[in-house]
Amino acid sequence: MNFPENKKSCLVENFDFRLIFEKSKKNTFKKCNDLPENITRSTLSIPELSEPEVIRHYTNLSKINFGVDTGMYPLGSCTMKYNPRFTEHMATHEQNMVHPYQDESTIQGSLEIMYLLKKHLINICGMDDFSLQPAAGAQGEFTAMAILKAFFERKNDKRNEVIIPDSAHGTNPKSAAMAGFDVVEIKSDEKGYIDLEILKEAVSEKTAAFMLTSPSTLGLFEKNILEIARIIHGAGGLLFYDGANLNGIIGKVRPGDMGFDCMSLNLHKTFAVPHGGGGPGCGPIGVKKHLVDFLPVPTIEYDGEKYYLDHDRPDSIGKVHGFNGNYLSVLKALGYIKRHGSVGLKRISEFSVLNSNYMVSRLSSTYEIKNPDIPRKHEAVFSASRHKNNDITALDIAKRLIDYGVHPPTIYFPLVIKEALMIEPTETESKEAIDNYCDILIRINDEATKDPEVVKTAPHTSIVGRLDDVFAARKMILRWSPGE
Amino acid sequence: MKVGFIINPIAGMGGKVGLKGTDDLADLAKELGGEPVSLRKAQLALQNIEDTDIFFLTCSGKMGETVLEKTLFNFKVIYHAPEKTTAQDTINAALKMLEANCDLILFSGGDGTARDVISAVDMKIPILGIPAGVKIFSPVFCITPKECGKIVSTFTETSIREVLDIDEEAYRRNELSVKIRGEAIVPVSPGVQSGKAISDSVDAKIEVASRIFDDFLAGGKDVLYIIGPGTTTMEVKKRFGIDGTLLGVDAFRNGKLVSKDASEKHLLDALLEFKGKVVIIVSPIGSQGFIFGRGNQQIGPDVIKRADDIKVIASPEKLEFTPNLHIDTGDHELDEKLRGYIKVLSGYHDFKMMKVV
Repeated sequence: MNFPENKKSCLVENFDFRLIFEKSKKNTFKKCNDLPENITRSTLSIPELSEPEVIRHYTNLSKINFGVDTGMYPLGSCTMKYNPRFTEHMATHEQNMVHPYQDESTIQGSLEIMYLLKKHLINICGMDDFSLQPAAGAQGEFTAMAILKAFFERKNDKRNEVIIPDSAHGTNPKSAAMAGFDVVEIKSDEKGYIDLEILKEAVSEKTAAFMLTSPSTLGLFEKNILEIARIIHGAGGLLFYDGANLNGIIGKVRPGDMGFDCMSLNLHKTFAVPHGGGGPGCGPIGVKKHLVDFLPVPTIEYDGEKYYLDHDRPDSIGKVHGFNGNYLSVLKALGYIKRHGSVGLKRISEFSVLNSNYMVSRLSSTYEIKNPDIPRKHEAVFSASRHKNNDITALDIAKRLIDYGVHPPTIYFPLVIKEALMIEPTETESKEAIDNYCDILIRINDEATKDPEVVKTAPHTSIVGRLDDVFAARKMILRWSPGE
Repeated sequence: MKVGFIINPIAGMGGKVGLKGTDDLADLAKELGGEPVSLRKAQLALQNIEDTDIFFLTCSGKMGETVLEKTLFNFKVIYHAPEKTTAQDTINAALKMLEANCDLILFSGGDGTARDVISAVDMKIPILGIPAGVKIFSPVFCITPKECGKIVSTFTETSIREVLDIDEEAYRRNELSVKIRGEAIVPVSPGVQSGKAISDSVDAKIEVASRIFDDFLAGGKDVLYIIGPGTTTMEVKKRFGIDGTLLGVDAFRNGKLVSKDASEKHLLDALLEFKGKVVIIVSPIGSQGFIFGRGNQQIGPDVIKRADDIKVIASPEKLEFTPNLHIDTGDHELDEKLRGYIKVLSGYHDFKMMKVV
């Protein structure tokens, strides 16, 4: 491990912050006079720069950026695994240059790819059918909730409550509420598992569903899942599985076998499709037989001779995405599954679990963690509460990690752990990379006692330090507009 | 162990009659039918002290002697109180106890009494409050009188806590102004109530109010609402277009006020004539978590027993600092019945399962 010099590099120090539009030099481009008047525009809002200027602009931006291609990016709950290059090659192949308005007979290959992925997901998850339409995990959750709403409405059943544990992803309660359900939050027990006593108190004739993430955001496998399923089904409710953390169990146990009636997946997590700024994502949803009729349209089907999109489904909740979903994500995920095979998929969960437990064993004497003896699945949540004595917060530790050239973990989530540092190494990190990350965290712990100021004022090396993230989240500016 | 024992005999009298404190209004409270509750609560606390070797130093008459006489504890009267007691008597008694080297002062009263005690004690010895007043916001009080008894003979550690009090005059004018009035050394125990001041979001309160209003519209029935004090419940009053009080209990029916700033008697009278559905809406006191028995004693046991539905509402921010809900209606049987889990409404679609202990 190299210790940071706590100063900015030359590039960072002299960085040209201007947007590419601000670098634009008016009238660099000449209007083409060979075109007829009626198809030319008088203004065009594109930056006027030469090719080398454009290349340098983006190359320099990439130098101050950080991604899975740069180093370890253990953002808990996000499964920031390496995105293999072969899937990118597949996706950029010219055979994929198809248009959604093309006749089905001319895109049989693409439809087959979608159908194959659906079949694989059905097998991997133990469901009866899948829709590949939702564009992200949260949209998948919402789609599943809309399906449950339709299911109960058809039965003229007035159930309107969805029970959710306090360790859930924040999207769960919002998805349920958006679908028109009331949300009943229940407290987890001391260790972070579902508290069966509270669950039994919460279920009633109003219970429509229980949303569960397993392994949970604390990295714990819900060991009482069969009892939980019995309680929910016994009350007439259904179980939804949030598949955001599937990486911890893939190939080992299937949500369908654990009693779940429907589920969401994140291809951009478990199946190595790029996400974050590299998206778009894809959040397929799986359902058991009794919910198949309600899936969004179109579904992808095969009649023995040809693949086709089925729009004629009277009980469907309708469309949730333009055209047929994010096709290239589907393609990449299929490539990833095919390359791994069933043995390889098992290895994903084995290595992701091994890596997180190795990390716990290295860090548990330095950073506070609840019940370090309980094996974790894909991730573990530490707490920086102990560092409060030196006035050091989880945010300070996260910022200091940047100086050491690694990405911070997820912080302040899950809410059930104060000053949370939620670390998910994923299976793609080597022992050396995890050791390096742990060494850095141990060193920062040391700094927090001996030189807290250096941690409190971090980062010292990055182009920007402590951004106003609340302002950024409330006032999002996602694209440049002329005149701004 | 030497324990100083002070009862503020007028504390809590204003509660059920809707006076929000009895500091300068003891006569009015008596006139309105307020009962002395602090003697009863003090006795309950003493009954739960297990260590019989404790020696009490106390005041004459209702300020201590009357209650201690009914117990087996050894005690000595070191302060002679006049028939009509004032805040100065609490201060004088506490000073005497300090001089006599007491290990702890146990007092029965509310925030006003706590202020008087700390002004004399000045952090020199620990104090512990038996909750008997109207306003019991300070974290020097036990959750119930029973807990108090247990803590007196078992505590090993102490910590510094802030004593809070509301400006009573402003409180009666509908303004909420909680001020820190000083500090005190208090035994460390989960049985002592917490007192972290918290702020919460207006958006969530508006959502909660809209939900209650929409449920009423959807129900379409004749409902009598009894709504407790606080900023969260005030949003509900506003949503229904009711000119209610911020710090009092209001009752309304079909968009019309039945009783504004009601006393327990007003509420019982309103219930007597009403045969429809009765809904009580209360919000817990932040972090302490009391839903009945603190600041809303007007909603007494007989009112609660008549309710068809009790809705507890709170912003998610408040709930984050409120681990459990508490009740102390004064009716032990009713308290037991209300214990268990309850769904607290914290947004338009959001409920949280909370334990009432």
